[in-house]
Amino acid sequence: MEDTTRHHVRRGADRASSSRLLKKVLLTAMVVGALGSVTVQRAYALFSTETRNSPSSISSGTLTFDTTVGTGTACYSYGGPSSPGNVNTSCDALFTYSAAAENYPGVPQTVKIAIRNDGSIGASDLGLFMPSCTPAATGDAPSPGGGNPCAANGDELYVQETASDQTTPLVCWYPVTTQTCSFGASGLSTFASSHADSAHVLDLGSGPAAQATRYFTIGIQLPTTASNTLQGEAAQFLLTWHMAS
Amino acid sequence: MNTPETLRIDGTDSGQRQPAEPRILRDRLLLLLALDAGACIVVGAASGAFTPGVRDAAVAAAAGLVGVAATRLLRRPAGLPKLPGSSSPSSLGHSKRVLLLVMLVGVIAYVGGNATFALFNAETTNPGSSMASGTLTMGNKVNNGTTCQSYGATTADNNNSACDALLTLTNLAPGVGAGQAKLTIQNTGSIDASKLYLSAPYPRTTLSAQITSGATVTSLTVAALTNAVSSGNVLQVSYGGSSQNFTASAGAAVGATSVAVTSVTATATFPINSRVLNTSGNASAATTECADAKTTSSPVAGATYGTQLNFNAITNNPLCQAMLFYVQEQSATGKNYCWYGRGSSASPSPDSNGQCRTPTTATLSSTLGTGSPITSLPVAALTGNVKSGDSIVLTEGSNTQTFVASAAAYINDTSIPVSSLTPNYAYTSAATVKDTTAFSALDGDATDTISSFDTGHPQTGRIQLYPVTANNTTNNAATVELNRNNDAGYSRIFYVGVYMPASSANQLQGLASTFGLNWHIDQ
Repeated sequence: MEDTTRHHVRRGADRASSSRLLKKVLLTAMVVGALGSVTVQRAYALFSTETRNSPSSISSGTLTFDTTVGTGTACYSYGGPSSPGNVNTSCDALFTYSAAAENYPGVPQTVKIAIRNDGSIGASDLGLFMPSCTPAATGDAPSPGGGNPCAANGDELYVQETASDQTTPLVCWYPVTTQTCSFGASGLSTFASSHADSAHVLDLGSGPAAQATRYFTIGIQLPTTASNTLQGEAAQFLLTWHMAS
Repeated sequence: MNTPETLRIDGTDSGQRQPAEPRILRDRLLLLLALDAGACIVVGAASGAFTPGVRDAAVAAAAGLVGVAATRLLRRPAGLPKLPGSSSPSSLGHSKRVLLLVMLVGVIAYVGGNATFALFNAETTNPGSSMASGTLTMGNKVNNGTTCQSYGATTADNNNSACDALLTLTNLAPGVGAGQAKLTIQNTGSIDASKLYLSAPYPRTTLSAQITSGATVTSLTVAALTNAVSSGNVLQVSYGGSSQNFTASAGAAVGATSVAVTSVTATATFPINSRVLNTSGNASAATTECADAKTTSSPVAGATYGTQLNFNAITNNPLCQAMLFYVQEQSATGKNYCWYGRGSSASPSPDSNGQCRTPTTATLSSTLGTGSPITSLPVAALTGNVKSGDSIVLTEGSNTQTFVASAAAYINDTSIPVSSLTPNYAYTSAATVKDTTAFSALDGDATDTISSFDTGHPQTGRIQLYPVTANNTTNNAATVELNRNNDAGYSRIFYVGVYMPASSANQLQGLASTFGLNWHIDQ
């Protein structure tokens, strides 16, 4: 009987504990419910709205040009390799040596060049420079004179801008700024040393505008006073046109 | 004589009745449940959540529960022996139970009895109460265009992604290419907006084939992508109030019309034109919403364009990375704040007057006289800012002259204060007026670009646009950032501009960038 009583007391204590736990659970549930009824609306019932502007579109233009030597085909600036890009070093030569077209003192050779801006942006600057000028023997002369046509008293050079008829002179850009060019002593040598890179271009003014063309005539000759040392000698030079927006 | 029943050691009584202790526990639980129900009724009644009918029914149910519980408690548990040392006669325990029952009945009566049992009663009714929700909608107007409303979206979610483009600029050239748009953001609803945000949108597209609820989805059919998708990107599809995330299981290139996703069951139906956001976007320059492509035509007839060139790769969106970008606010009272761009608080050179650096040019509004010094330049309404000390260069033909700004001038001003100087030529409206200091400053800025905006201010890094109270001053404690329609402060004006720096390389030729802006308000 005593064991039974103790057992009953213990069971009673367990029940009391269980009941308290249940009360706590129920009370907690009530608190959660009450809080929910107060706070849920505020936390999740906000209005909001949004607008987005359709994608703006901004596009860059292009600045490319081509050169046409004589009646040849156009050579495009963007026809070169992708790096550095927009540089084409494979355009036609202005003058090509041949036995039938040898230079003689005082006899000029000229070539006509058209520079066309085939991009969409006008050029603010057009320039010209000569990265290199090196002498070479023609190989045709039985006894080359050993002189240097790229040096002082060597070949003479001019840069004449013309109208679109490629005849009417507009501006002589080198050696002296005037309307019509004439050769001057040591013209090639001076040009090569003064305008050797893109930082030292011969400034040809602004333009051409997009889709516009400018025309030039390049003249070169052996000076009338050329010495025999220039016999059988050739000048090999690069001439680079540079355009900037 | 009341003979106790014999209690078996296993807890069951000798008469095969239900065990006494579980029955007691059950009864007490029942009582607790009744108490809990009563408490809930108290809470419900106090909050007014119950209609009278519901309340009375609940009261009756609770009373019934209490009655049952009490009745059961009043019965002596069968087989329960008296506790040793417990001298309480059963009549005392009985009295306690009776008193408890009376208390409970009193509580119940207090809560609901009056309506149930009162003999006299009176009642009034207020019929026809109505409740109407307000609206929170946004207007978005570009320049003098038509206001685009947030609720005009095809996605039917008060989120309109198709408002007018801010800028459509073509044929930009380094050092001169610039554009600016005036954007008016309005609260067209009836509720104040406590927050106004600006952010870069996520790269996006739209569904071009419906997803049906319950269907197994392994790919999304979309309008041609303008931004590439990488495997693992999270694509959020939304329409109306529904949205669901899908995970790309493979990459998809620009222009693709299908994106493979990890198989999942659609939780809702998403019709054609549902919005598809790549929420993994804007993480780097390569994944910005601003995206580059080569131009496929030129606005200049016969001119070269992007796809003809071989030196203008679009990898990592180089034009987006180069184009400078600014967002200038000017309040209705002429107060200025630079929210993004050179001059903003986050830029390398914050401006104390609230001015963004802008590529400012102007047109003279009258011819300058040459007879005496002038202290201001009359100009048509400025489309950019001028800082004190800036060099303002006038050029007309071969004539040129540099003035120095003696004070700041702001967008829409019609004169630029300058240090006293006599014009060297009668410059006319044909003269160019250029803030060369501003251009130089912008040309040296590689930070405040569209790309930087996208990566720095995606939705998670959005800019909160506090009300502007003075130049370069905002009220960060304001509770309303965009007042309800037609109240003061319901409209705010921003000037959004871009500029192509003079240092831009050949590789940026023939490219087109597209980018959007997100404007968001909260109640």
